[in-house]
Amino acid sequence: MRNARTIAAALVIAGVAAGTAADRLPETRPLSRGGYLVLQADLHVHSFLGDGTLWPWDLALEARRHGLDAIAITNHNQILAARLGRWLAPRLGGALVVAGEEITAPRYHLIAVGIDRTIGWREGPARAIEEVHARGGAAIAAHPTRFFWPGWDDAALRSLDGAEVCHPLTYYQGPEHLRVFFSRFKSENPGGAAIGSSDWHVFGSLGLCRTFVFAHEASERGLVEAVRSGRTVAYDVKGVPHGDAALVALLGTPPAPPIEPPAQAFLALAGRICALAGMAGLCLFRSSRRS
Amino acid sequence: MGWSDAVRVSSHPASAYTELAREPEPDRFLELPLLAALLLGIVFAVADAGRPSLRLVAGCAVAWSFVPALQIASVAASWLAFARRRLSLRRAIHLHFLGHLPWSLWVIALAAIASATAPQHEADLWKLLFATVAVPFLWSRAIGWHFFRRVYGLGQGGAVLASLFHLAIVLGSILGFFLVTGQLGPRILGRQ
Repeated sequence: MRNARTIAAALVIAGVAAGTAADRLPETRPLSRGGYLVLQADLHVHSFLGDGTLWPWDLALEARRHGLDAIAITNHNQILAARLGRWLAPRLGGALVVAGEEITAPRYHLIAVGIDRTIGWREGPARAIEEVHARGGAAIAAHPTRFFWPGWDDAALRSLDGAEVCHPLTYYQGPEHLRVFFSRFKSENPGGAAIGSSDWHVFGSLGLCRTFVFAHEASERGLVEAVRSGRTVAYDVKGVPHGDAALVALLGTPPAPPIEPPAQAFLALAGRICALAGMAGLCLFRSSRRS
Repeated sequence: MGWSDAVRVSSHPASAYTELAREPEPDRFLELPLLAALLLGIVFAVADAGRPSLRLVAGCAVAWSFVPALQIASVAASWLAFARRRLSLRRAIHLHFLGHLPWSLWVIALAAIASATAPQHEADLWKLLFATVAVPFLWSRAIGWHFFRRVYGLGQGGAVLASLFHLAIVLGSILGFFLVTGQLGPRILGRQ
């Protein structure tokens, strides 16, 4: 090894080339059940220009890789990235992007999907939900764990459209908090929607929790209408389905996320090993010309 | 094959910085900040999507290039305050970025582990992250101390002041990031 740094640089290039060759999207199409399009949606995702790590258009492409038909980009108290993603994603072949916001207040977090401008966080949840509806959107309680329960009064629960019943938090906290909140929500609002969302910021959990949305059309309007009408099914961490029993039956066994073809998986693995090893080499070794 | 200057600085910061401060001016002072941006691009592409495709690497590198840019700004601020008569800004930037090795190795290791971890176990990744982040933080603080002593030529009091100044800029940037991205404001300002 005369020049370890050159080899390291070659590894990085080879890694990126392999990663690029592995960057092919699966052919996906929404399911069709009982006259509805069943959109697999992750309605709580953060992107860059907020505290997520990927650009909105990259998220829309990654969503397709995870078998998602739609995502809602819901950065904290802003919708700039969501609007950017909504405009660019269809031009790049990504999943449907719905503009949204995680209205982040000290005592409650509220997902607003299908809105056209930012909604402030200073009002209480009932007033915020009213404004989401006035803007044509749907309002979903975000990760309503015990900490957030005091923020939700009965009036807010009655006007809420949905509540997250599956969230990555439940993989280590257990599903109880979200189940208790969902029961309370359903007792106030029997037609409310069950939502599964990944609250994605970083790492590989995009679409880990997802919502099956029974929509009349694959569009932002169709998705929002279905959520507001309560036509959703979500499975919690224990595999228990939540949502209207007829829709659960209509869906049948939920489809598994797409499996990557072996050649593509191998290229991805080789790509990341080469790229990370190459970067470590570039940090650790000096060029022989300088020694 | 030999170890890089970053390894020398990380293993023996006092002697390495003393020697490196005497070397000629670097030709490419932005080489290390650009390498840091590329590293962030690869690390996020691998950790998030499991593949370092050109699209993801370029996108993440551009998005997260504000991190090395803020580092340059922090060096420029400390250089203006403590060392503008002693060395050029180009050299200060180059020598400062040599001290990033602990963070570089940590993020590479974390990305490798993240790409091999099932999403259901993401909580374990966060535990690992919080359990180990003190290592690169303290290691790089120790390197920073020697940077201020040997490169800026400051006494102990001056190096303490410069370290605190630098830390304030770094922590201020992190605070600023969470303020700009909208989740910290309500916690600080809000009652609802």
